[in-house]
Amino acid sequence: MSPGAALAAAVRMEVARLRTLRSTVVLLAAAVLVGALGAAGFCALGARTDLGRSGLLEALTAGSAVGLSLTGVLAAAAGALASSSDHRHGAARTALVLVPRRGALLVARAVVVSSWSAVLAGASLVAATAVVAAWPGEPLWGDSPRLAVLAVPLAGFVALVALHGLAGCALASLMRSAPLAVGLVVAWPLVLEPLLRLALPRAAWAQAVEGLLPAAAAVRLVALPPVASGAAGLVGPLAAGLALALVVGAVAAGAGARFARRDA
Amino acid sequence: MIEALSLTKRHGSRLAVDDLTFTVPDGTATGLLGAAGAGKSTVLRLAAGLDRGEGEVLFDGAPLARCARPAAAVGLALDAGAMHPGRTARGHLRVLAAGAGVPRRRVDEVLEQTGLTGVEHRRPGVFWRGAAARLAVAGALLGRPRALLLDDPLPALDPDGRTWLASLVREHADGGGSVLLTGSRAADLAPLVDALVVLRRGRLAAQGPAGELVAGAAASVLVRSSDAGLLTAAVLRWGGGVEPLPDGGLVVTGLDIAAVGEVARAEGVAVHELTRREADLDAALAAPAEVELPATDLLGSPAVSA
Repeated sequence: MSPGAALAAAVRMEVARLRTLRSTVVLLAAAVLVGALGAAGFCALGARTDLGRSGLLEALTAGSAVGLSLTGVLAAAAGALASSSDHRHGAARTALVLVPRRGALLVARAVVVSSWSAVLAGASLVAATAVVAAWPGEPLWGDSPRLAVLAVPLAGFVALVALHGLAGCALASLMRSAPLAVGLVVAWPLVLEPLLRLALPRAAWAQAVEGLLPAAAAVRLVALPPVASGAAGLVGPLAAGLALALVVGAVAAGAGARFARRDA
Repeated sequence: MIEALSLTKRHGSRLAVDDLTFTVPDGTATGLLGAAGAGKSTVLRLAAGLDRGEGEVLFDGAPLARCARPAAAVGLALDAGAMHPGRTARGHLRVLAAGAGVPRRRVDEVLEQTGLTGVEHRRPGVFWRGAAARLAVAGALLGRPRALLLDDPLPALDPDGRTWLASLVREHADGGGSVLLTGSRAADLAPLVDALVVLRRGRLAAQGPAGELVAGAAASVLVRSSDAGLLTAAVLRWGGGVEPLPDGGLVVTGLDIAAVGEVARAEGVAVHELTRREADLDAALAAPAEVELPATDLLGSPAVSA
C-alpha cells in the first residue's frame, strides 16, 4: 500500500468515524452553546461597563484571550475521546489491519482532529457573532477595531482551538486516559504554568521564555495587536503560534513514537 | 495462501510464540488450535502487523503491509468486542468500508451475508449473543479478502451460528480462498477445517489433517491386570507409554488394544479389563506441558497439506 493511498484511506476512515457517532453532533452543539453563552455574557457585561477595544474580540472568542479557552477545552475533549477509543474499543487494531501504515494513521488522525477542532471554533464564532449582532443596543461595536484588525486574532483563535484538539488527542494517547488529558489541558493555564513562572529566575532570558510558555502564547495568539494591522503586528501572534505549535508538536511526536513502537 | 515463517513473539522473558512455521494453502481452511494462552491470537496479531515480533506472515507471497489493497488480501476478525459502544452496527461497518475503500452498498451485502439485517441500527449493548461475533466477521468480509483470519468466533455462537460459520468457512475455501480459524476445543474446530495446527505454550505441538489428528490424538487403552508392575515394564519395553491410575489400572498409549493384549499374554499377566479409550485431543491439550502430545509423530512436514 503506497503512503499516499494509505493516507487517503486513513483520512476517509477518520472522517467516517466522526460521522457515525452521536457525540460529534453533541460536541458541535456544545461549541455553539459555548460561543453563544460566552458572547451573551460579554454583551451583558459590556452594557454595564466599558470593556474597551478588546470587548468585541473577547465576546467572539468566548473569553479565550483572557486565559482558558472553553471552546479549546471542548476541542481537547474531542481529540482525547478520539484517542481513548483506540485503547478502550480496539479502534487502533481495526484501523491497522485496513491501513497497515502507522505513520499514515497518525497523520490522518492529526489532520482530522485539528480540522474538526477548527470546525468547532468556526461554529462557536458564528454563534457568538449572531448573539453579538442581535444583542439589544449592540454595546460592543462602538470601541471595536476594524474587521481587518480583528481577522488576525480570530484566525489565531481558530488555530488555538485546533492546537487544543491536537494536544488533547496526543496527551490522551500518551496518558491512556481522556479525563486526565482534558484535566491537564484545563490545569495547565490555571495552575501549572503560574507555578512554572514562579520558579523562573528574574532574568531577561526568563522573561522571554515566560512569554512563550503555552498559556502565555495562547493569550498572545488571540490578543489584539497593539498597533493597527500590518506586517509588524503579525510578529507577536506568529511567534506565539509557533511556540505553542512546537510544544503541541513535541507532545504529538511523543505520542506518535509510542504508537509506532508499541503493539497495537 | 498464508505462510507463517518462523514466527516468534516475546512478552518480556516469556515466549508467547516460539519459532512457529506453517502454511495454509489456497482452497483450504486450517484451524489454529490451543488452550487459552497458547499463543493463537498472538499469531493472528503478528500476521496483521499489530504486534512486533520476529519472522513474518506472507499472504500470496507478500506481507500485509506490502499488499496494494490490504482489505482485499486479508480479512481479520480479531476481537468481537472491539467496537465503539456509541456506534451502530452499520456505522461500525461504514467506518471499516471507508478504510477498506469499498462502496457503501458492500456494507448491506455483508450485513445480509452474516445474518445481521434488521439489527444494523442497533448498538453493541443491545446485541444478542453472537451478533458481535457475526459483526466482526462481517467487517472481515468487507474487502472480499483472499485470506480470512477469524479469532475464536465459536464460543460466542449458538448452534445456528456455528452452522452458518461452517458454511461460510467452507464457501470461502471452496472459492479458492484460505481460512485460518482459531479455537480452543478440537471437538468444535475440527469439523470446520481441513487441517489443524496445534499450539502448546506458543510452540508447534502437532499439525496435520484435522480428522487424522483428532482420531490419533491421545488414543489409549485402559487395562486392569493381575500384575500392574510387570505389565508396565513390558509395555515400556515394547515402546508404549504408561500412565498408572490410582485404582491400579493403567492407561497405555502408543500401542493398540490388540498389542496390549498380546504383551499381557506374553508376560503371563491375567487381564481383567481391556478397553479402548476414545481419542481426546482437548484432554491432551489440557495436560501439563511436560506430557508429550501423542500426535507429535505428525510433526515433520512444516506445511499443512489438506
